[in-house]
Amino acid sequence: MSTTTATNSPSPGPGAPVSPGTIKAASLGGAWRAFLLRRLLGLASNLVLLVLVTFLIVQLIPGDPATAIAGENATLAQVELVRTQLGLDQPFLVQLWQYLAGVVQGDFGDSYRYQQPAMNIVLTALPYTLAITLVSVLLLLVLGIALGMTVGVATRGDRRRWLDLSFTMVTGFISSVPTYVLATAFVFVFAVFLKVLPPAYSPAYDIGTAAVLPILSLTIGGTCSVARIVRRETSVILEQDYMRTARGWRLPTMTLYAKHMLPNLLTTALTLSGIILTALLGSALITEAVFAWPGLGGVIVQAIAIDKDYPIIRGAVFVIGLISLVLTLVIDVILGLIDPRTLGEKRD
Amino acid sequence: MVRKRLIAGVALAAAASLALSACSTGEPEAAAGPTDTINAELWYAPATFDPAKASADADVTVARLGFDTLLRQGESDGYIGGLATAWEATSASDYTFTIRDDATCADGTAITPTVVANSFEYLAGLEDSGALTWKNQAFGSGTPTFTPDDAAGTLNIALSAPYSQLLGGLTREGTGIICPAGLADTEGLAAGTVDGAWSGPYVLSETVAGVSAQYALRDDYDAWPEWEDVAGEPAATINLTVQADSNTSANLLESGGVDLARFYDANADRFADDAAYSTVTFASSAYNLVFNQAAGSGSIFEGNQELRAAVAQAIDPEGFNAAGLDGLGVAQYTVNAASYSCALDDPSLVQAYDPEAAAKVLDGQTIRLLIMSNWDPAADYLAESLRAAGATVTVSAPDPADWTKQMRTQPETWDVAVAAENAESGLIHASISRYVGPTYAEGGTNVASTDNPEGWAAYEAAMTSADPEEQCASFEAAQESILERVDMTPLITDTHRYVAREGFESHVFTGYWDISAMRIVS
Repeated sequence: MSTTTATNSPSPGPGAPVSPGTIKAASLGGAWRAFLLRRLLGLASNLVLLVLVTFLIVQLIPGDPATAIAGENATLAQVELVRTQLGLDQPFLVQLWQYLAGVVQGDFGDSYRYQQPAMNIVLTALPYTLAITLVSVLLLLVLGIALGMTVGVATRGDRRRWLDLSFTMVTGFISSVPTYVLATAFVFVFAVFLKVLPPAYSPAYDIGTAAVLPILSLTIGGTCSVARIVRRETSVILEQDYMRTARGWRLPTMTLYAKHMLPNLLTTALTLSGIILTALLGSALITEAVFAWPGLGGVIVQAIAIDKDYPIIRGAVFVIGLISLVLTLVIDVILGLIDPRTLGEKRD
Repeated sequence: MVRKRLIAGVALAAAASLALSACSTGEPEAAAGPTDTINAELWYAPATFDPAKASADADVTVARLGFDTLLRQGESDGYIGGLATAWEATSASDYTFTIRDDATCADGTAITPTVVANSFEYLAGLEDSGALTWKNQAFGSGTPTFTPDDAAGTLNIALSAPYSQLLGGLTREGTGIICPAGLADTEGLAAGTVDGAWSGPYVLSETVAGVSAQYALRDDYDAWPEWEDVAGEPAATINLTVQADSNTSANLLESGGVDLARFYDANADRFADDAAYSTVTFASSAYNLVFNQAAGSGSIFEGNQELRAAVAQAIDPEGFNAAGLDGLGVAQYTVNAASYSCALDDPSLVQAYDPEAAAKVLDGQTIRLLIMSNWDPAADYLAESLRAAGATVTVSAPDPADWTKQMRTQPETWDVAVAAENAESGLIHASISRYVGPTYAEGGTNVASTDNPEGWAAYEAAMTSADPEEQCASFEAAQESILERVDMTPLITDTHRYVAREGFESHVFTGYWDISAMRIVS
């Protein structure tokens, strides 16, 4: 990795002072310490914000939780009984304090509807959501990079313009289609018309079979987006001096593309993957509704639309936010390992 | 570790399935073969398995599987025995039940009159919103006293205030008998983890909160009601998964992913003419227009019957049905569905659709219409009907919880509201009391804030009579009074359909869909 990084470092121009040492181990260690400190502080402050925001946003959801939980036949006395039992009759600041005190201990409160810790409900559904989103991200990265590289190499130097044009049009079209539309189309084609895959999750089907269409729906749009970007990056990298030199040396194809080009593409792809995964988590919640997938989507929809179940909404939003923040941090660390320039500190 | 395995498993299985499906030409595996399992759906996940605390639709549905009630709805009318073999109403305050001597709990404990009495004591003593609803439906507003006689096999229920609807109330799921083991561990009862708590045909064998529930048929259960038209075998296992989208339900039913599905929209038509599917229908909700007559609320309908009648004349219920319910609703001529016992079914008592007559009265009026959110076609139809008659209409469509709250507690904010009355309880008095008697602010349920002493007197007469015929006559008189005064006008009964694929059946008894009567017929 360090060889590649050094190769990518801007070369000093004629007459420029020569740097006494491009990257020293000691200064790199300092850069890492500063980077990690900076990012961990950022993570902590973002978590605090997330906790506060999750408390505040639920207040904006229309509908009275006590009325929703008491049911349609409840009298006003029953509604007030529920309100008291849920602690919703407490002043705003008291509720906020109780919430913060609970969160510090990892307790988001008991679900209004289920009368058990909200985080239990969220963590029960979470693996189902992660199962389809993580697999989708991996698939779309692998497929997107492979496709983008292939097309980029094949169309280098304006060769095969028809391929370039077709690729751009098709991937542009597919990536612009909303995931839930793709999901619905897949259900129609593979489940209703061809009858080769289940239309949705059911105990009657093997979970892996039921996961095919949700994963496909989440993967295909992202694959096209990644492929388009990788294809563009590939074109740029192929024109760089080190790649020309490598081609001039007649290095084997695998060495040329896998060893010298791919690591540089990974920087872009990994940066994208964090953004894509966060977006996919959002898409997955909608896609789950199409496929009756038993993940967080159904839990959140019921909590918001039916039960006004504040603890579950807070817990679910917090968990999704936490996943997003941690993944972003992890990806930044990996990027730092691949390319220390991304650590964001001058090292003279 | 389990989560990692799930993710890895799903990834591997999905990859393998994708590869295999590319070579496959047949239907997915679930569609064929004999089975002892029924896969069905719930719109939302059950939150509690304690029948006494059941308040959401899913809680109520699953309560029927696990807990038997003293009485059940008759197949076409009246009541049949559940855990009770005989019953007698000496007066509207005094009832005696003979308890069957062969019923047992899931742990083998005999269900005696004392067991039944203890379960009712638990229900009546709970400080819980759901339990209060069941207690009111079963025993009325007074205090019940339970006197079991195990030697005679009887249970006497004495009420401090007359309540003639006790028999109907004791068919309701929330009054299901909880066995002693459940009463000894109420937290476990709510979580569904007490093995001996169940008195019904099924026990909960597995549940994933918010996702699914699986029930297993008890080997030792033999207390089925004496149904005459129910054929086939009860499922050894019932899988209930959460699924709220009607399109997905239809796709799953077609592919064999579920064996029965509930429909409220035109997706039901996909199976209407197909002999491989059977359909039963039942009333889910009764939609009514309620006129706000609260004194000092500023409602234009207070003390103005002519204006109320004009609004009723301006709206075509069939047009409303087409706009709001895909034409799947059925006509309704009183406060709730025609399938209810003692419900009026006479079109002449409601205002006929007459837009010209309506326009003469409504022209220039300003009307505030309150309706629940996410039902724009219905709101638009009503508003445009009134506008066509010359009225200026402002529509308020808050979230359902706010809509309910606004109707009950903020009469100063609306003139006319669309009310959705649960049409599955079979208890017509609850619907009548929306339009007579004390208001919500006074501790009652009169959402229209009407002052209708005649209707209230008829209602009271029905509630204090022990004679079923007298009860019905009085309930009908109360309904006639409400309709004559145009305190409300019926719109339509939202009729849902349960569609079963070939080899499965379900049943509706006196307008009530009974989940425990799902059967495998081949």
